[in-house]
This record gives sequence, C-alpha cells and structure tokens, in this order.
Amino acid sequence: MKLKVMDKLKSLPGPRYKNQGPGSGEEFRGNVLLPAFDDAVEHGEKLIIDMDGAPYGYPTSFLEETFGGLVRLRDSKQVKEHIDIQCTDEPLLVEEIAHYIEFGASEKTPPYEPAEQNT
Amino acid sequence: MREFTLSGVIALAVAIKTKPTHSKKIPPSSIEGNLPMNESVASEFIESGFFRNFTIEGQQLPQAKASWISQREKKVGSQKADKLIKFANENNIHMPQEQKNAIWQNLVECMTNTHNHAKGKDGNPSGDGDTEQWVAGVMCREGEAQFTFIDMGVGICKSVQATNYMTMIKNTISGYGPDKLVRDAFDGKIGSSTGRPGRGLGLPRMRRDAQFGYLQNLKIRTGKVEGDIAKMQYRKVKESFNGTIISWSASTNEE
Repeated sequence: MKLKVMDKLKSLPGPRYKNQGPGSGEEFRGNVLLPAFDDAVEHGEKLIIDMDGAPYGYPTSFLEETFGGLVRLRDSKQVKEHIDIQCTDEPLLVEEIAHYIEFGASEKTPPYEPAEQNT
Repeated sequence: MREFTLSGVIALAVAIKTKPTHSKKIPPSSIEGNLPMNESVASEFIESGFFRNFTIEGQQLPQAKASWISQREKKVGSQKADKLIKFANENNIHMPQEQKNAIWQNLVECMTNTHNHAKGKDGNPSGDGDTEQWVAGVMCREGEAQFTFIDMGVGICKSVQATNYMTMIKNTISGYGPDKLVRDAFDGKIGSSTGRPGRGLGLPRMRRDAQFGYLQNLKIRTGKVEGDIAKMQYRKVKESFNGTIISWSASTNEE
C-alpha cells in the first residue's frame, strides 16, 4: 500500500493542530494516515509513505504531530513494523521521522540532531 | 555581510507594524518631528522606504534602498511564509533550496508558537480562547534579505517558565534567570509549558538551522532577554518586551 502525502494535503504542510491553520499534522494523521495505517495492519501489509513533492519540506510540529502522534495512538512496535517512510527530495527526513516515532510515546522528545546537514 | 543590530531589527519591527497605507486617492501626508536619534535606527526607517508616502519639509531624504513586504494573521499561514520567500527571490536574493526550506519551516514554526503561546495553557486543539497576531516581514537590499518575525503573544519566557511554585522558588534562589531559560529552550532542555509529549522542538530546530548557516545572524528579543542564537549567547536587558522578535538574514548565494 502506498500513500503519497502531498497528494492528500490540500495545501502546503502546516502547523501541529487543526485549529492552528490549514494543512495540520493533526488533520492529516486523523483523516489520512490513521485509516491507511489501520488498513495496512489489518491486511498484514506495509504502508509505504512517500514524502516527496513538498515545495519547502515539512515543519517540525507537523512531522511530530503526524508520526509521534501516531505512536501515541497505536502500538509503537506495530508502527515500526507496518510503515516505511520514503523521501528522495530530502533523505534525512526519513531519519528525522524515525526519531519522532522512536520518542513519540516518551514523556519528553529530544530534539532531532542530524550528524550532518543535508546539503 | 551587513551586520544587523538589534536596534535596527526593532526599527524594522516598528516599521512593519505601523506601515503607512499607500493610496493614490489620498495625497501624501505632512508630518512634523525628528528622525530617531540613533543613526542606525533612523537609517533603517529611511532606507526601508517607510517615509516614501510622506513629504518632510526642508529635508531631502535619500531614496529607499530596500524593498519589503509584510504578512500578518492570527492563524498559521504557510502560504504567507511562501510569499515572503518568493518576494526575496523576486528581489534577486537567490538562496539554495535547503536555505529556503529552512526559512519557510522556521516561519511556520514561529507562527505555530505564537498560536500556542497565546493560548497560554495547553494549546489544546479543541480549546477556545483568543489568539495573538503574528507579523512577519522581509526587507531586501544590496543582495541581502532580512526576515523579521514578531510574536505579539506572551513571549518565550512566560510560555516556557516553570508553573510549579517550588521550582520557581528554587530557580530564584539559584539565579536561574530568563536569559538561562531562553538558552535552555533553544538547547531543547525544556519543553513547552504544556508538558505534553513531542513539544518544544521548534526552537532547537531554529538554533540548529542557524548553526548550519541557513538563518544567518539570527537574533532574538523576548521579555527581558536578547541574544544571538547561533552563538547561544543571551543576556538580560533592562527593558521588557511583551512578545518576541526574531530576525535573521539571508544573502544571495554567489556559487
């Protein structure tokens, strides 16, 4: 199963919460990601999430609420097993999302610090 | 690279907030008074074109060297952040895509923070309450763009300060002041006042992007604190500013 994020967003990626503005992580997670994830789990498949095509990438809060938020709603082991993040535009994004998934259910998420910037 | 001073940043912030409306139907206004005493502040006003819709008797003002636009809203406006970057590009500030990404992402984070801080409690998605307005602008001149973001909310210090009474007493005794609080917020050592998981990540991201050179000369003024974020140097100042001003520059990539 494949999910292309930018095909589902009606605007540029936006803030964390729906009430903060359009294109929020909360809205995307609730309306798109969660149903697709549940479907993938139900069918024992992997959900491939394609992050390419965002004109300026994704804001931190959007990413954390989308993927950290998913881990707060579903079993983290299941999330790691059933989703596969892909991004050729910005390869470090895959690592950053993995960080939010890793710490999403923790009391405090440490800031993501890449070893080297993607230049 | 031009060194932007904090007084200059504040002048720009004032200019953005009080920008005179240009209308062909209304004749240019006449004003009386002096330019700001501080030369760099006066220069920011003149060179920005702030006075272009006014006539000033007996004084020949230099032509505006800068072009600038501003955007304002209460909600997070990712499209408005896009407009600021495109404006810089139209004014011959050519940045690599990674830098544009960093600027856009940080503008959106700043807008998100304004919305969160204004709620003052938990930033609950279903919560009600007034939200403060943000204003963001970009001034372009001589191959450089200066971005300024103004959060007219409670400011970083009040949004991340300890709410626990004992912690507040402990902080006072140990000399843990607002300058250290702001430093720790940019270092990612403290989350937001909400205490909810996954929060407080936007400011460390901004510091990281400054240290990678994407947000050049990144400065902050919030509450009684001003600082250089890339250098992680913060100091207390006498006058308090309600809200937060963040400013950085971006120059044309010569490569």
